[in-house]
Amino acid sequence: MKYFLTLILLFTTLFCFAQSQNKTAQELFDNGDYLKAAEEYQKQIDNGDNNAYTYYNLANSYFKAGDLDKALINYYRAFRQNSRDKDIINNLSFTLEKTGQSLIPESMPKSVFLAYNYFSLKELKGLAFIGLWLVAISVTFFVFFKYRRFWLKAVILSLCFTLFFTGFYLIRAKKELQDLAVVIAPRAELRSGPSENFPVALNVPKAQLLEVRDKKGDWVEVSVRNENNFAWVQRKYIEVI
Amino acid sequence: MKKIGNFLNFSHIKILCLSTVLFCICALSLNAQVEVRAEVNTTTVTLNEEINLTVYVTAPSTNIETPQMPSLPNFNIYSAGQSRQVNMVNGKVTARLQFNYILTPRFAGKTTIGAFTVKVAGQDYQTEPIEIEISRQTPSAPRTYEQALEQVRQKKAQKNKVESEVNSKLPNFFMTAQTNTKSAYINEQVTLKIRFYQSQNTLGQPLYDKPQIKGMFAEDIATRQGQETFGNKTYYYTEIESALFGLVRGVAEIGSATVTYTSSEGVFDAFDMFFRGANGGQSHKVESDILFVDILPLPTEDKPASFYGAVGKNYQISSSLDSYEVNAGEPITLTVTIKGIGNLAAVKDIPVPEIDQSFRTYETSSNLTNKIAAGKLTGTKVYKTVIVPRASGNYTIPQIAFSYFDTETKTYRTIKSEELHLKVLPPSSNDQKTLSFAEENGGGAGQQIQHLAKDISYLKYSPQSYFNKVTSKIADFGNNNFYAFVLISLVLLIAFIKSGKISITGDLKHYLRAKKHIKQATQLDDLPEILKTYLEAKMKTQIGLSTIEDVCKKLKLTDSTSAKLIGEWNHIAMLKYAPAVDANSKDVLGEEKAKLIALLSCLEKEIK
Repeated sequence: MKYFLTLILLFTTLFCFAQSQNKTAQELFDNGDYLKAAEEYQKQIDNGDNNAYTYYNLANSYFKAGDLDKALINYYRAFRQNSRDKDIINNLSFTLEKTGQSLIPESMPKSVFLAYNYFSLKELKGLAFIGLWLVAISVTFFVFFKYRRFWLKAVILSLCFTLFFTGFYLIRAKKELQDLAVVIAPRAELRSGPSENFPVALNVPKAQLLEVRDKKGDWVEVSVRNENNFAWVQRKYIEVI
Repeated sequence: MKKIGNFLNFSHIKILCLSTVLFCICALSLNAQVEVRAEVNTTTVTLNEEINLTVYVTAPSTNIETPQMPSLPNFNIYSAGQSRQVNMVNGKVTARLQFNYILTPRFAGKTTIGAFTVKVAGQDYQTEPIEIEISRQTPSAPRTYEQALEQVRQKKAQKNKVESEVNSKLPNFFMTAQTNTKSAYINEQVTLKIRFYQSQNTLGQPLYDKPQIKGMFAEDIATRQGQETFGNKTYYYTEIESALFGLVRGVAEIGSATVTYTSSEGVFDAFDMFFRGANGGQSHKVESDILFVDILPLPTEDKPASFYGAVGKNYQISSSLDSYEVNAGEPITLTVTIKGIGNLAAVKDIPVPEIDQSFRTYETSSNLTNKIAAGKLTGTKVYKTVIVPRASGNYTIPQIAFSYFDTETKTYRTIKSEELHLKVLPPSSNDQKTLSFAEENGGGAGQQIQHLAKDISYLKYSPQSYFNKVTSKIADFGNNNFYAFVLISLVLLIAFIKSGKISITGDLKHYLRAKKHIKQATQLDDLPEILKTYLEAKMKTQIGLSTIEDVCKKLKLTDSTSAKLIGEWNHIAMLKYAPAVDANSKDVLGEEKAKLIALLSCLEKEIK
């Protein structure tokens, strides 16, 4: 009982502390002190409160402070956790527009993009595991109990469910989000090889989205989104999302 | 018609028609004779090599504009000069122009050099696109200076062998070419002087063709004329001086420059001169020697981080702001100027210094101006960056370092601009308005909706959805899901087995139980009961009034097994009631037990 009470007390204290931090950050934001508000939100994330809306609020603070690169990084982190939230999608799209980029690829209809991103990567992983549980449970019932026909149907259904979400998760995890980076320096030099001896092929402005291809020491091979050229950039110029 | 008749009479119309026809013929003939083409010296290169691209324009007009280059993001492009030749034959002008470019590839892969557009007499003409394959493959080691020189010596020796007999005496026209050095660092200036000597007058203006230069970027410096005596012969010369800059390490080749002239030999009098004119004499060509310059790589030791490719001397750097006191949110321009003797075209853009996190920095633009001073190319490059302070306070823009390779001392030197101090006042009321959230439209009813500003959505503190929480927790649990499932399954299995709801042996348990009971039996009377219980368990019903034959049918036994069962069934029943047999003697009981166990084993194999 004592242990239980101690736990309740601890959670209540943490909750109150998080609430007060939110209040402080919001006040700073409302007063136009965006950089300090961002610091407060960053502290919350460092303390483990790293849900989608903390990233979203942090990104909002950076956006208002004019740091579009950091805003973009944090909007993407929020989007990765909750890809159905309209505010997150709206602000991410708006920031990308401001930097001359777009959230939805030109070749993809909006509805397809939204359907593809309906579940976050974590949700897909969770659903795949739920499917596995269902398969295991229905197989158990099928083996040990009566009503075998019913349990056989359950096995087939849960197997389809699991395969769908596992496949979806694997495609998403391989293709996107994990491999994005944003330029954080005023300008990043992209070279044709992973050393300063190679000529500069491209100068990329701040807040440009890059797709990470490979890594070698302090150098990262990237490609500019919607372009086919690959080039190398020093790690210090970019932040991987 | 009457109205027209007032302005135009028939002769006017005739002239108009004739002019139109003439114009069309001229236009068609002009169009037919214009030739525009682009050529490259190679279509396969490696990343460290270069391509010499030449655009040839031949047209019956001198109104030819410089070609418009297509977008070539895969190459660095340097102009390598142009040459022009204009001929007039029977009053017909023919211009031949040659525009030279050096392309150094940036990326590996297949690419296309798009069409160059040339405007001739106001009309656009295009070259054919050229496909280029660029490989990453490390190029073979560049030939040495000596190797290159030996190759040209062999070529020259063959040529001279033939020519030496003809030109045994000092010629009236010849050319020389020389560089101030045989080796230079990448981007270090090499001065090339090409002279055309003549001891006789020529008919008409000699035509000069620039040398093809491989591996170097060229900039014309000056043209001079003078007089020099060789032996007893006096020559007049025209000198063209150029500044060359090595682009890549290796041996750069400066091809032969040529001059085509028409000598006055064979023209004997004024009559000839008058009637035969410039076409009267013989056309000749002289060419200069091929030269080589060894381009050395810049030393990698002690190369400063602030080195952006500048080579030369006497570089200077300065920085300034267009205003030193501004309101927060107002843009100001940071100007950085670099001056020095050298080729600043090859210098990369310098990065904007880190001022403060609260500063917003925009794209830097640069502007380069070159001029010639004392035979050296001197450049001034101005970088302009717009910065916006977002918070009030006093700020310092730090020194900007710029390093260059000093060609005199052969070392890297670093120069720095001065620190700049900036005072940022709090934002003006207008700025705050633009930064404010959710601007409201003050219009009254009936007015149209006005979109004043687009902004991001406000802060949000919604809790995570239940679905998101659950799936996230399960996802975070990761592979532990498998272990948890195995553990829970085991616990359930043990619990069910213990409670007797499920059995690991299944139907076998009846056989095992019957066998156990048979072994434990102490009298013959027990055996029929054990057999009966076993058969009932197997049939999953009571035997009741059924005969043993019915049981065999129900259990779908074979005839032999049925016979055994019926025999044994009747036998143990008979023993139970037969007074002549000592039914409880150990021998009889043991024998019957063994028989019954053998029967059960047989039955167990058949009953499914």
